[in-house]
Amino acid sequence: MNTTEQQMRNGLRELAAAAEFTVELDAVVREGRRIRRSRWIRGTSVAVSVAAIGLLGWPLATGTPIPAVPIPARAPATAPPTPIRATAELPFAIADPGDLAFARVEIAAARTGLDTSVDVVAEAVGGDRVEQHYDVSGTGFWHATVAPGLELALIPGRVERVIALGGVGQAVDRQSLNGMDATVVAIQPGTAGREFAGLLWLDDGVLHNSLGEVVPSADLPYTLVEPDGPPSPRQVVMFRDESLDVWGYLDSNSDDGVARPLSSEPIDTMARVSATVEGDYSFTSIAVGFLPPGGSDPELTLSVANAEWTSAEVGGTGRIALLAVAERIRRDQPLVESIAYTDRDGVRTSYTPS
Amino acid sequence: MAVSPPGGFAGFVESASGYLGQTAFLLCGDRELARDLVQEALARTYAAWWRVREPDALRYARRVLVNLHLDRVRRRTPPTGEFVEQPALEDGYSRVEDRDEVARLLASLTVQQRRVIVLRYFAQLSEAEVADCLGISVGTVKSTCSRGLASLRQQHRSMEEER
Repeated sequence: MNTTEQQMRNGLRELAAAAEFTVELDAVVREGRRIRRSRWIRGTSVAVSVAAIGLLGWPLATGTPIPAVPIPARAPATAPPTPIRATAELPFAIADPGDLAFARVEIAAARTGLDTSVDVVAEAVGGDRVEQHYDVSGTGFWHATVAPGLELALIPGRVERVIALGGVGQAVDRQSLNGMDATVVAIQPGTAGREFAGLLWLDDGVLHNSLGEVVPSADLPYTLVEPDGPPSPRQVVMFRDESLDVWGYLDSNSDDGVARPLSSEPIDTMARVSATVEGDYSFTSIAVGFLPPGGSDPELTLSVANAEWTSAEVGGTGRIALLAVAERIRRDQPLVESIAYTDRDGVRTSYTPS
Repeated sequence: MAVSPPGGFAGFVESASGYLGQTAFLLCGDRELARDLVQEALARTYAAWWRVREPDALRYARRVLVNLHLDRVRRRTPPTGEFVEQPALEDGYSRVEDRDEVARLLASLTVQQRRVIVLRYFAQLSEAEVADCLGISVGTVKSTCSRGLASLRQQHRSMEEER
């Protein structure tokens, strides 16, 4: 280490030593609880607004910001409220169960007002059973580790699509809890040692995260073409979640979806994925990415003639999402050859995905 | 009325608040603002406590702290875009009146240079950790650090000549 660096290090320590002050733990906890509550309420409010606007016939597709509305005050109870009861069975009936530790999860939930009791029975592949009971306050997102390798979450609303963060090759099963306006989700992280890191889900076309926030996203349409079927219109929901430090996409017509950590690369790009592979060729391969902050006017050069690309701005972030789609492409052939765009300084720039 | 934090959080606050406070002070140069930044960073860490926990909690809280500082700076300066270097004229360091040479040296850096220097040489993070904390590339950390140190050397020489 040279002299300047050592002097700076010593000087910073001396200067910092003058900054002694006390943190008030009670104030921190109160503020932390307020933040957590406001996140829950914000998520709930948006869901309520979407439902109300849908009934009034407002076009959801306009992308107009949806104002939050206050939750109606509850009438004072004159008699003990009757609990709403619901059960769910999650058999993890997936095509490739692989090394799943748990074969089946059963949930019995009872909600009284804003309090929910949850009884869980998880049946391991070897026949062992794990039983847990939880008392949950509030109707926002809730999560618990039932056993090593098994996470359970309650999500407000009826979830259309869900992505669990933190694992690779993980299995997710979910079911609505009838009458409770909630969905129970069970997750088995596929990679040993990886911890559950949160959830993203679509509810009425709005993407939410497990912090109770609405996640900025953009819908990009494409056409699914398979060797033996008619073309069908599809769309991907591309997102950037700065709070959970991930970006990625969900396919709004299937349970396909990928989330990756936010990177420091000039352009976030993801290796392509394909709907079908037949021989040496993939059918309906898609590649997604984001321009850097301030980037605009994208122009993609694609490697095959039957490919197309499109872009859309992710609301509230100013970031441009990119989607390239090839009907048919060799399995080992990169789809995107280069991405040209105008950077924040107005300079035309070209980027070659690695 | 006292409130009961979840297990481990009180211990985390006790062990981390001094370090976070000093980091915040070096970033902003204002004791009261530093206190606010630390309180807010710890509150947000509490709100996410179910998913961060120790030993990642300090890394999480530090990142929140840096982002909160960034937000404060942005609110006080015209929107010129993310991580554009500009003179640090809008925060507490512009009010540094004392004769402390290090404080004056820090005040001469851009916001981004100061952030990198403080995290690198006070918080003792590696270049990769600084990049992760600030959401920039390792190359940017290296070049910013290099420019910052060069600026400090020049400022130091100027101060010596004034004496």
